[in-house]
Amino acid sequence: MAENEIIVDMKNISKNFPGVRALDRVDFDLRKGEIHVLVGENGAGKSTLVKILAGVLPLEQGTIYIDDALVNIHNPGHAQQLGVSIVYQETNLSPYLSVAQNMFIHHEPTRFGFMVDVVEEKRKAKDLLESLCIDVDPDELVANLSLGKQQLVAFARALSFNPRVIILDEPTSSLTQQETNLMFTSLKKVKEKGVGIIYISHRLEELFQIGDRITVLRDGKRIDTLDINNTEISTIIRMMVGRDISEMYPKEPTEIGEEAFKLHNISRKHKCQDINLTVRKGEVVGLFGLIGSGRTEALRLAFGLDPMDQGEVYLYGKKINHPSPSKSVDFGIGFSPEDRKQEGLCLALSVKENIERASLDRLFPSGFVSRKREYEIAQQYVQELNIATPSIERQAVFLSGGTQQKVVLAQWLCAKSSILILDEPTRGIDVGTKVEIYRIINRLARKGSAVLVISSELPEIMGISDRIYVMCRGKITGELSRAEATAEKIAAYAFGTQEVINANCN
Amino acid sequence: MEQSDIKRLAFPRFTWIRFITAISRLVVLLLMVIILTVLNPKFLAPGNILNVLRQAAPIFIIGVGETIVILARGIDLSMDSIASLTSVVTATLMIDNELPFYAAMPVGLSVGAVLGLINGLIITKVKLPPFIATFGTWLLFKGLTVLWIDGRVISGFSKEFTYLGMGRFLGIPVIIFTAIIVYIIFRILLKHTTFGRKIYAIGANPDASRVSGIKIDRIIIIAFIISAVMGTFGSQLYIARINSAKSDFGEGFALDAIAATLIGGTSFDGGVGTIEGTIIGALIILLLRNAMNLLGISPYWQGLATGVTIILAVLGDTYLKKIAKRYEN
Repeated sequence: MAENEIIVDMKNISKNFPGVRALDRVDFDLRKGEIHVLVGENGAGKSTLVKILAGVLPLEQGTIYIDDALVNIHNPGHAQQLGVSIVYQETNLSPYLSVAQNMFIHHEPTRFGFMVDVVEEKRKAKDLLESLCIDVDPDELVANLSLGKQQLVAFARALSFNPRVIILDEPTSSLTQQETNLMFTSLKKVKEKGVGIIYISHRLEELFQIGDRITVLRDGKRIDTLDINNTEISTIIRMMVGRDISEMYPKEPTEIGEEAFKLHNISRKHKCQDINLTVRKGEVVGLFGLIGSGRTEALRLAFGLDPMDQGEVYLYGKKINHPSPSKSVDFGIGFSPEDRKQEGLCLALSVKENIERASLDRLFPSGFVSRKREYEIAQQYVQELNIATPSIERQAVFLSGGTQQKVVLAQWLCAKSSILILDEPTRGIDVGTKVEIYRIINRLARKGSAVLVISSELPEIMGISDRIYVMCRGKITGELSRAEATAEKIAAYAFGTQEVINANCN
Repeated sequence: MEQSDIKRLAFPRFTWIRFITAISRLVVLLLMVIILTVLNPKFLAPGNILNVLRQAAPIFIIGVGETIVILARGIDLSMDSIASLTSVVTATLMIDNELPFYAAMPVGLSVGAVLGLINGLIITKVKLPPFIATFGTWLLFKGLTVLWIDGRVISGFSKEFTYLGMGRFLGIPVIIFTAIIVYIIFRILLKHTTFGRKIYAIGANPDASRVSGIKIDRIIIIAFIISAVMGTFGSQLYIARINSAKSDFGEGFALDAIAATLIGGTSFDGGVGTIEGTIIGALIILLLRNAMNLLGISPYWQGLATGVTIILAVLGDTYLKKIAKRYEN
């Protein structure tokens, strides 16, 4: 069997979502025994591509060959029969079943054809886990495992189908360094057996440890496929971002004034510890950290969404006692959550109702809503932010991700918030709208707002921030000015593994 | 902004699907009226029509309360026992304590408000799901009533009080006027106040509403208080009509109210629904019963018919929503 034998060959794959061309004539192939890394910014189409291969999304255009045979993948079960297994970022294990039960949930070894052979199931699970050096008891309930261990179990489950292709979507985002290393060891073993692995990750550094080839996607298009050993990380970043940084991030100088927002020693057990940060008027401050670093958690505490164990929040030097979302909103803080659909919008309601939601009491202090006034206000913000909706009565669910994000921002503009906390404001948004959102952020800063942006995209955080804080494992590990910030420094603080890091991150 | 732009933004394009969704229930109601008239010409007699409206009024009044909590993603299963407990309170005050009805009714309504407050507190502070919380209080309130009043039947209310339930004004039952006033108040509350906006927002997405600074616990508690007060008010009018109150009075109220709300198009997922829908829902339920009575069908079939109607109404909604989604995309 030839070393470079191609198992999967996807040609000319296109896919449309409402308002977005998610994939545009993408070619992708996978060889036997290789780890093919798929990178791209959020919304570049990585997940869409692998979901089509895994039968989760229907193929709209293009062809897929598996072992030179044209296939039409109907559903995830069919994909599994064809030898394609996928491990999602969220593991979808059943928490109250044991590890062994989870691993063999749809293909239990049976006795007499209908009874689950519990002994055999356990033995097989044990063998498989041991062969992967995963130190987990097959009898343990999944609910009792750490997120990292669960991820490893999900990986083992995918392997229990004896797949020829295995897809890993951000497998290490919830793993500790040790678990990551363990996973890499297992991956190499699996690879030696001739399994082809598609590996999606945002952690560019780790790709060089394990990847063979790399494909960069951007805005649904394949930019290039390269041999990873002959590629520089900077090349990959440039290909991912795809344009001159200055054009992508139209940063404007602003007048930076007094301290507007300050967190002092904010802590919550297992989430974050001793978070200190300040944002001044007119300043855009970036908070960078990997998923699970505690960045979102810290700012949720500050906004009052979750209770904090200790710490203080100051607004223009004045302490807010017992922060709660309603207090924060009253004091002029706006919060754009990471998950727009879950916490940002009322999808069943109209654009108008979403825009005015945080301002109802301010706009209509009598308690009675003036139809005329609310129309005028909603229209004003639709125009101001160039929100692409046919009508302010349009339900938010029918808008594209970028437009939805603008509606969330409009809500806080409407509420006259002077301090804005934006958690991943450009996640899953097309590049054009991203630039618009950066411009909105700039305009807010110019008008004297204090803006705090969480992002896990390095180019973005460097492109828009005046100052950057970096978090790692629940703590702030570094603070950099715009001039000081380089991708390497930020990454070093964020990974917390290199020498540059001060001791408290270990 | 150009004037035409404002118009374009403010008023969505007319679409058939939206129109059909909006009037589908009215069409069903009209069809029922037509079929009933064909089957039995007596149906359209003014006496029968007024009778239907009179019977639908308490279901609507109680249904309004249920609509508000369902809009906010709740449900109030305890409506039956709230009705029996508060009507027994109102009745004993009038009979045993010889209070006039205009004093007894507000006391009864206040007791209702307290019961609603209890529901609201259990849901928001103890954080039990509304289904479980009100299932529990349903049994609790019922138990209280039975312990207190035992098998006693309280009757013999004053003429002034029974006038509210059986009286006529200008030849039309008073209770119909009362229902119209309730409708106007709640139409304004839901469509023209910030409270109404918050109810819809919480129903559509409680998490997002919280992020927007809405005090969702407070709004939910108020919604349950309103629900219980409306349940109380509806049951007071009811005992005024039947001129008696006892501990098992009110059975089936919650189910009727929930049925009227669901048939009226209010979504169990919250955030979608109207008061007008609940009126139509109450009328559809009553027409079904009326039809069976007119056609001499056994009342045992009525539950079955209501059940089928609910399922069809919700199915129809889901189907129309799907079409609408395809159309919008």
